Amino acid sequence: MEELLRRIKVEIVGNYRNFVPSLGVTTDGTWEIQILDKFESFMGPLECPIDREEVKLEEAVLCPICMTPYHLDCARLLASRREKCWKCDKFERFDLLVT
Amino acid sequence: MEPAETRKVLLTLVTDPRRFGSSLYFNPDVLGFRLGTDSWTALEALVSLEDAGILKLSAPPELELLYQVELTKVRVANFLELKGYQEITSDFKRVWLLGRVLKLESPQQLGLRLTDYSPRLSALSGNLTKMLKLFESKSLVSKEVYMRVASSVMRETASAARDAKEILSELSDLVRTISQLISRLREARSSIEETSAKLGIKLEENESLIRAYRESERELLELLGLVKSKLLESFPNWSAVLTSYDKLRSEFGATGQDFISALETMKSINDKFVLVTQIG
Repeated sequence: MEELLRRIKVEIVGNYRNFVPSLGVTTDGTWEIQILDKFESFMGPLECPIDREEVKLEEAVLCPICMTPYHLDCARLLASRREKCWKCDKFERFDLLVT
Repeated sequence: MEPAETRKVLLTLVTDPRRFGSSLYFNPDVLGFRLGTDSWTALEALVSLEDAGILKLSAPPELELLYQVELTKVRVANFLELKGYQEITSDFKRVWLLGRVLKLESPQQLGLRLTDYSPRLSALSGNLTKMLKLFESKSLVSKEVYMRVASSVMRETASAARDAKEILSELSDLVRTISQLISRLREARSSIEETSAKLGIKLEENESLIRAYRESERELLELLGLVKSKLLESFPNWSAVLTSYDKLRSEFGATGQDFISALETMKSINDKFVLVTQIG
């Protein structure tokens, strides 16, 4: 019967962000909200900051620090120029991700 | 659900890398592992969040047929007491959860159990045997004696038929449900196979559905056989009674409506046994 469960679709429809702090999360909650902020950006279409085009999640190269998605070619460009992530300006080793 | 637990489930969902947009498919192993629970507890948590208006759970319509099969399996397990109380309750809870996802109303109760009503079936069986024996000896005794004994047997049979009404009706419903499900599974399977043959392609999703349908059909056939064999334990002269159905009905019709409907229900149950086995 467990095999059947794989066909169940789960959609996030409510405002879960309001729900989390309302549970009384304070210290740890700060961290949790930040994580939610990052992942909330995935709720809509992903956009590469270099060419401003949509990136498919399965094809995206993600900045390991801020999770910003890049097209593979755009990430290669950053790697070849040793440029930092356009969003967080912290990660610069894109060569490690695209080789 | 505890607030901490809710938070954990939500975080697990929104940080699931397999999520696409705002939706993802339930993966029992991964979600269960990430939440540190079994997959059914994870599904229960999701159902609670759906009640809270945060999530929306849905499942494709073909799952409804498999849900009905699972529900029937639990009903049969309860009817024949194939499992312990705890195990049946836990299976029923799982099916109930699936029903919630499919937005179907699950039954509140699992129904009767055969062993509780076994003495009533045995009593009916005994009285019907008496009727058959009486009919066989009709030519050997005077009409007066025959009528006197017959009226006594008919009175007892009427009472036994009344007592067995509930369990026969439950049995009939269960057998009818099983046979209908077997037909639906066969139809659904052949429809997918036909479409695949026409298109000339085999999709893994369809193949897994065909496997699930085939497995469910096999399980239901096994359960039907088990229902029959358990029934024969309580009703040893089942076949003899049904062979003499017309004879009993015409000779002892005056026994009353309970007797007639008991015979009709038995015949309908038996027809399902025969039909399903023949087509299978």
